[in-house]
Amino acid sequence: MRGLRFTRRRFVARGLTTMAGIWSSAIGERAGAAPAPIAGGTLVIGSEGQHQTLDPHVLTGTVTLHITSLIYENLITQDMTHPELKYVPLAPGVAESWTVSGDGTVYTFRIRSGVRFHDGTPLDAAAVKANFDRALDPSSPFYYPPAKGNLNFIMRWVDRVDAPNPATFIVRLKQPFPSLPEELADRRMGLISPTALRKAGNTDIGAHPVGSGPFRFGSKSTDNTITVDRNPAYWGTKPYLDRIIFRPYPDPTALGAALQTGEVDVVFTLTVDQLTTLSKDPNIQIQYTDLANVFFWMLNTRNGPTTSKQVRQALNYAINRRAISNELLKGSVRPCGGPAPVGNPVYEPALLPYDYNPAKAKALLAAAKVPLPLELVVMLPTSGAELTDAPAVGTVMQQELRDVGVNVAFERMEWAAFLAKAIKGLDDRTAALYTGWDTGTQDPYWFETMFSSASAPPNGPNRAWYSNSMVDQLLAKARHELNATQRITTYRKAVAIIADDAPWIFIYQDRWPRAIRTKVHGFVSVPCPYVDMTKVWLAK
Amino acid sequence: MYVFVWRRLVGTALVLLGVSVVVFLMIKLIPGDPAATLLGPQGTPEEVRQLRAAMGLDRPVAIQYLRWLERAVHGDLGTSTSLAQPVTSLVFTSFRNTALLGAASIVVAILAGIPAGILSATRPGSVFDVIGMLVALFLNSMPSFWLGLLLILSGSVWLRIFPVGGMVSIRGPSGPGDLLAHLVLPTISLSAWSVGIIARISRSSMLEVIGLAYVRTARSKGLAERLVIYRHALRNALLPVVTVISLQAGTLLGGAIVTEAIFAWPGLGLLMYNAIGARDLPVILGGILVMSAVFVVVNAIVDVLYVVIDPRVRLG
Repeated sequence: MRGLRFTRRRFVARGLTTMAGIWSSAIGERAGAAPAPIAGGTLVIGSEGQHQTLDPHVLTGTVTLHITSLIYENLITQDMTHPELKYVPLAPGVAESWTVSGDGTVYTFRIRSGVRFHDGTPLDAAAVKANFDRALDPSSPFYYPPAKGNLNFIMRWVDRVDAPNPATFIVRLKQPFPSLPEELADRRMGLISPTALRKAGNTDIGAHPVGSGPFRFGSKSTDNTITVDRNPAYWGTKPYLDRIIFRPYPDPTALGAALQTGEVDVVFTLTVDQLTTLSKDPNIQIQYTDLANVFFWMLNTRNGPTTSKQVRQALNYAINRRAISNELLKGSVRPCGGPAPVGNPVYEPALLPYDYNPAKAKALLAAAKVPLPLELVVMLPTSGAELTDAPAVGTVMQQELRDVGVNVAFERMEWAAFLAKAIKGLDDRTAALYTGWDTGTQDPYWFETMFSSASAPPNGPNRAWYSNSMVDQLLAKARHELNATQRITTYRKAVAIIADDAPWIFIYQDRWPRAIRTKVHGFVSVPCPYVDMTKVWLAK
Repeated sequence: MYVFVWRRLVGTALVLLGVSVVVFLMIKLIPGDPAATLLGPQGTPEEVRQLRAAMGLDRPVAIQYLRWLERAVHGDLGTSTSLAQPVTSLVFTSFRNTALLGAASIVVAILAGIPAGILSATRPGSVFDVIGMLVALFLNSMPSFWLGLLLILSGSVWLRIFPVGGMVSIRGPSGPGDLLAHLVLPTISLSAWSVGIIARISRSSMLEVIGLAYVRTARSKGLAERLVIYRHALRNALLPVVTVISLQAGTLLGGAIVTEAIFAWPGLGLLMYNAIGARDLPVILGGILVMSAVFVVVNAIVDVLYVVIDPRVRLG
């Protein structure tokens, strides 16, 4: 079998020359020699909102995945020690290496020997298969429909899995899918002890989580505070910290206050108000993760005036992204005038063509020969994680669009109601919906999910019915392409067409600022919402 | 008395049944889907469809309700769709925490509200009366979320006396003192409105009673003013106050949603707050049923209290 081989050596070699820079970029360190890490101590993290079940296979959102990513491990993981890179490279996890068949449909993973779950169960190929069976095999005792629904982003490509011996795990795909390694690094793909699953059952495993990660579940207290303790038997680099406590705060103002008082040491997501207040506190440092994401208005390409490409481009030129980013959102976001944000492997500046140019917007609207003022109905979420700024941004955009002859009427909706309506796709009277997207991993495969015509409802989240046959062909070709360089090139061609077609008003990229007390060291700023907690330590 | 209890029990069961039907239908009628909410904006309709089927949401509403009701009468309120935990234990654990906060708040409200009202009534027009009633009006007018944030800012950020939020177990390593420290700010926040309303009702009720003929008679007999107020007037003045206090029990449960969300107090209010956002129907139903049951039971207790306070009242 001809195959591409990925080993730990290859991944480590890529970053060796930059290792010296890692610690200096970690927060809390001043000029001069980096302080030596200190073992021990308890880190307290303030969680925004409620902790859900500690079952990674049914989780969405990052709040609880921050916790499960410490308890569970994946076949493949991300190397989060390279702040100099614009992306997060993959690294071997429980699988120490893997090969791909020549036709790209069979992935063979070599499982690291000697790894055990926290309950002592060996983490071998059979254990990995049990986890896949949970979402793949209705005849398996582990099968759990909610896991199937949540992990369908990967399982839809999998035909079957095999565990011929304890050290070998094989994934057979229905068709080539080079993104598989990236998707396997998604935190939802954490591996659960099959012994614990049998004992607790599918519903209760979240209350009794057993993984193989650097931290093991400690306790869950009255107020939903979750404690994880250092795993002394961890096979990899052992953490410095003894314990990490995750304390939930539903109210963002209270969360910010808890950081100021020292009740918590870290807050992963900040509102603009928090950012303004906390950045003045000398005991707190702000770190930007620059995760690849875009916030946008998805424009109706099937009905109404936004079916015109010139109109869509005009709407993009009418928006002052710098003012929104720097003035309204105080630098917590950066302008993003195209579909491929910084951090995505496809990113290059030419793919972000739209800047503020109201004159050009007016000229394009005139060329489109649409009656002015244009009247647009836009769906606007008034709540929802990461969308708390949507009403304010929407109001500013409404004013800017009015200046070029476009009147916007918002249909404001609470998050759950918004999602329920959005998922059906834009109806004929609605011109746009305001939302954002980011992924657990940064593979460009997600462009196909968002922009291919096959991904229009009811099949996918292309909810504004964007359709371009050339884009479809390029995205399908890129999905099958086994040569990594050629793959990125093909994706860039598709993204260039998408940028020109302007099916969205591209607005900004959230920089995901997080606040950390200065006594905390070892947080590395990489484009990923998660943190390698084995590197984190506390100053005395 | 037995007839009264029996009637109340039957009434409670009917009320809970009615509440469950109404809530079930309302949740089904309002926009929002638990499967879509769980999967987030990148979930595809096909993934949502599969998850809905797995959660049993694709069956007719009547069947869903009857299946829920069948389990509920056996004490199983189902499984939370967002937390994947049994609703019965979630609701009762949360209720215990809310009951602690609610009890602390009602005690504070009674201890502060009734004396303030009586003292104002016995000194009408005095500085104490004017200031006391202004404070009561102020407490009535303040939104609880604003007062909560103000308390965090003053008590936690500036003075650094109380924790910002959360709750610890009384049996935890930090002991009951820490639990008390966590309880102070949410209790003040939650009880503020009740203090105001109880003080105002106590004052007006007392003023009314003081003006009655039997109080004048007592005074004309030469009884000490203290005896007139506390032995003769207070008992009759308390009747409307008790009614208000009983209504406050329900209001506190409702108001606890905002207070618990601000102070991260893990009670029924916070559970409901999160469940409504996630369209977690089993938790919403379980939570509202418990709230309704508490309201009905508290009202039944108040009816009995009327008899104790005023022997002219009879249970029927």
